[in-house]
Amino acid sequence: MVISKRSRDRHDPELPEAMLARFTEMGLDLAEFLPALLSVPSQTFRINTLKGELDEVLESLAHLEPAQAGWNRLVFRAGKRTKLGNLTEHFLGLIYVQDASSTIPVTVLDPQPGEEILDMSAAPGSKTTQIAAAMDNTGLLVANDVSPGRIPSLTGNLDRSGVLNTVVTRLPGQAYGHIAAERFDRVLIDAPCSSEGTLCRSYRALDLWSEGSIKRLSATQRKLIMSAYHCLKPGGVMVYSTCTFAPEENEAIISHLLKKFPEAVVEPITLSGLNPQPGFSRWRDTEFNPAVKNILRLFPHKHDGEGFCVASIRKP
Amino acid sequence: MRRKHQKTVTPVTHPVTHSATHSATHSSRIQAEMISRTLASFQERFGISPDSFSSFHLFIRKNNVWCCTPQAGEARFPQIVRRGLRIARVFDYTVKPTTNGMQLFRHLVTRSRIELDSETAQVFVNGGTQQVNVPDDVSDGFVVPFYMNYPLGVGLLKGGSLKSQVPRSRRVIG
Repeated sequence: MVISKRSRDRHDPELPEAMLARFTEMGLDLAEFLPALLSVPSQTFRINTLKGELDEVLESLAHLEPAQAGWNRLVFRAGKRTKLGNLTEHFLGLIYVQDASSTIPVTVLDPQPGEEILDMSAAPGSKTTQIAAAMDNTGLLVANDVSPGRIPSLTGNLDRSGVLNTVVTRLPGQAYGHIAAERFDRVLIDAPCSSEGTLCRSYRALDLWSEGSIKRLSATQRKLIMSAYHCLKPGGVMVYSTCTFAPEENEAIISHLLKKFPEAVVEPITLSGLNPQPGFSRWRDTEFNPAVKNILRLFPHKHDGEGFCVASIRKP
Repeated sequence: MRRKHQKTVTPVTHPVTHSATHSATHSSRIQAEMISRTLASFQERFGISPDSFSSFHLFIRKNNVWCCTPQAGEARFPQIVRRGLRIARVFDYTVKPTTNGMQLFRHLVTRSRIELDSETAQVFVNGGTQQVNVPDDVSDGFVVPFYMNYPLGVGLLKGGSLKSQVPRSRRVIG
């Protein structure tokens, strides 16, 4: 059964049989995994240091009883549920409401002030604004998104967050490999994906989900990662992330890159406060490059947040 | 089918003529004047020193003043949608600062400040107009209302009435 786009109630949907079969093939215990996948995780927000001081903002939000996430000093879980988007602190751009898992790719990317960084699929701007804050509004951050319909949400969030170092472009990510070869210190690809990990917030992903769509998205992701690797300076770092569990969109993509560029290094990710799982070594009849074990996989029954996959790749 | 008959268009480079050069110089002179007017207005009205912007790149686009880092200002890519943040709109009769700009440069605003309490701040962020207590040293015109030491944006003060200039897309409903 497919839930219509208009259906936003929280009655658990009937997931497609093919999806359930895939989860089982991944070795997931459905009795434990599915309830976690479909339940809303705790509210999290990130403090935007471009607009305010950490201590000051925390003091004004004391009524929410915020608890710091282990992997990033600026990410907090709200102890009390409220409409975070209606807070004055949100209006002022002092906080950015962002899922806990979504803050991890930029934490791994570790942007530095003065660098040149490309965010290849930037809208709606959660990670872009996080990168800009880590760069302390210096250097150059290129926020690209191919979809004209998604650009207003990106620019709106850049405005609210007070970002000055960003150039917004509207190009297919694949084009960057040609127009900006070896230009960037760091590249983030938060790739368009089948979004299985976001079912806790919305069932919209079910409308588009199919084995065929995973295959199509995988083809796009391969092009994006190759383009991103071309954009990197020697010594540069690229972070590839998706909010889906499908190995075709994660391990297979990294394996594809390693096949074309065997010198690329998939770096292990060590962050505290997480309960990650390693990347799959094989899927169905495909054996992946052993380096994909360094992919960080987050499952909702092991981690309070959306399902996510993150890989960090260094260009020697 | 029509497309088949279209010829490939070869870009034509026009020789630089005296009038073209003159036009470009004229345009850049107007842009420089608009930026100067904006900085002078910021200093006079809000006490923001023009030196505060010396490390940024300021430019004009459709009568708007934009601010970005020098690297963002110099970057050349196809299909650029925008660079940096819009900080003001320049009209013939006035310079209007933006909510986003004033919120970002909050620590620089020393004049035309109005302190709001919880209730009046709520009305302001919802885009309302209201009577407020105006300090003696604040005159009619654009002002920056503060709440809890943070600037909420830009308001237009006229005879004790404060009209919120917060863009509709930024207003808080709820």
